[in-house]
Amino acid sequence: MIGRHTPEELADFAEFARVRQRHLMRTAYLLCGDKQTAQDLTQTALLNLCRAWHRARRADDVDAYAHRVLINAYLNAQRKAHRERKALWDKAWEAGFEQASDEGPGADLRLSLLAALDRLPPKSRAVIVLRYWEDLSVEATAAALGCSPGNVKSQSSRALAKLRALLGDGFGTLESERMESMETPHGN
Amino acid sequence: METEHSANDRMHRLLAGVLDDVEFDTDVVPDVLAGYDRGVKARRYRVAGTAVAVLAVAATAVSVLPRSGHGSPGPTAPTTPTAAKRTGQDLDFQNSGCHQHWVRSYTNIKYGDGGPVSDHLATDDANCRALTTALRSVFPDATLTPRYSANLHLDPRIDQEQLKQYLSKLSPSAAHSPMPVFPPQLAAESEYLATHPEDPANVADPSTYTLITPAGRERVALAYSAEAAMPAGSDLKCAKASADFNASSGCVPLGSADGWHGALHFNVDASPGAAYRMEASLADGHGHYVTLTASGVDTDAWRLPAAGGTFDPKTARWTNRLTGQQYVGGQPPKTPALNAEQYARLYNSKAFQSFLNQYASYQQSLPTMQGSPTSTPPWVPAG
Repeated sequence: MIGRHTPEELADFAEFARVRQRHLMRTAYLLCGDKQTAQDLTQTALLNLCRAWHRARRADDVDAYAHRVLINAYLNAQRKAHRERKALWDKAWEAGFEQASDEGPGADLRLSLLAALDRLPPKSRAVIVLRYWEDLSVEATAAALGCSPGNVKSQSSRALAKLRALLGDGFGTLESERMESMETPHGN
Repeated sequence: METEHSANDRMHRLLAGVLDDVEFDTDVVPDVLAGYDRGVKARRYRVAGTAVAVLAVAATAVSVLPRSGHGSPGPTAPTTPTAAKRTGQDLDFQNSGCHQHWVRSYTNIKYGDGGPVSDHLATDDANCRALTTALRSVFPDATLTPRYSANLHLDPRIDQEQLKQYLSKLSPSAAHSPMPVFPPQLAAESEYLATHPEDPANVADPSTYTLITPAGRERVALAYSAEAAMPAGSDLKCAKASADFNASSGCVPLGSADGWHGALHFNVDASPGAAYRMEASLADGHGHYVTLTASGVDTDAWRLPAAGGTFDPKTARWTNRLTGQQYVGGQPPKTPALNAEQYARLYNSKAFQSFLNQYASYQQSLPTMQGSPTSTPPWVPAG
């Protein structure tokens, strides 16, 4: 909330932000695929986190809280710019494949993965980033996204299937996809 | 499970590979803190016309007031309530208790909490008066005054060139901060503005007030958010519901499901240095979410001497500008205006629930973001 932090609380927040901002930027980059946007997204998320610092510092896991704020910032931004981004990346997707083909298999897969991630719906992309980059459990991912574990499993399954369809053999088959689509009680 | 973990590891490595060539060496924290600072202190400038009017008042004052020139401003004749009306708005600050001037400093920024002021002073003032009316319907002796912050850039008694040089030495973001930390040599000016809230260089934050009752004085704040934008809704419930208001900490359910409902969380240990919490979270079930916080401290009365941005909680010496009392420590003594039972009674009252409906409508009517919060404020006078 605005206007209530003491100097100590602001110093506490600043310390957290300085330590965690780089990691948040990397996560944001996987979410949005653009360095400048990732920095803006991180800045927006940290500002929102600062405003809610009273609530955040009381949370059991401040990192998890920060992730929720980042994901919210990302999803909010996506809702606003969804149509424009889709049109833009439809072109970038084609251009990315052409350019990547001259840079060896590693670079090809990296660029393709980034482009493929951008073909996913925002929430599905967030599921992939939280599950496989942040290594969150199904339950923790569900909590971060405000949905049910079952929804995370189905989103993850569909997203991985789409990534495999887009990337072909270079992506391979992920056993976790199969396992998550089953009704197992554990998430990780 | 082993197969699943190795597949997860492979996916993690693939994602890590995407980040191989991407370096993030930008430090966004200063901009975040500057953005927070703006949100707290400087978001109350109304439309450009009013801002121009305030600047015009300041410009007029320049010709009759001594300029600091050498760092320490001379004493000036206090601005009268009549002068406060020169913003062009016919509001009697001294009598209404609501805002003398709500002037939006950044016309193109949306604030996630609280929101900017509206384009119409009367609308903002009506919201302030509605809050006061709701409060007094339950506690007739209570008084609510807006909380002010000094905007140095609007202060005609300060040499703006010197101020710019000082701020540029602090940090790049400080140069654009409308409410920077007072330079030590401007301690007298800091004190003057603190004791003269009607001065045009003081601007009000419509979401923050000083609540005054026979029991005490404390800062209270309210903020609005769309419920869907809140990271977690757990504050709406008491994990361990308690109705024991005599306990120093606890939580009390508020309202009913068919109206504004939520919880009042409190931890009111008044001993020095102890954390103090009196926070209510309320939702109406239709996507509106409001939090109300009381600090337990009269932050309007307690002053720290200008210290050039440094703050040592162990040696900080606070002075109460109203009583002259002094205190050394991280936070001034707590003087709550209401206790948990009284706040719960207020929030549960029909009058306050009606106010919340009006407040939600008011917040939804406010302007939305058009530009970047890091842009140079358009109203900052050019020296």
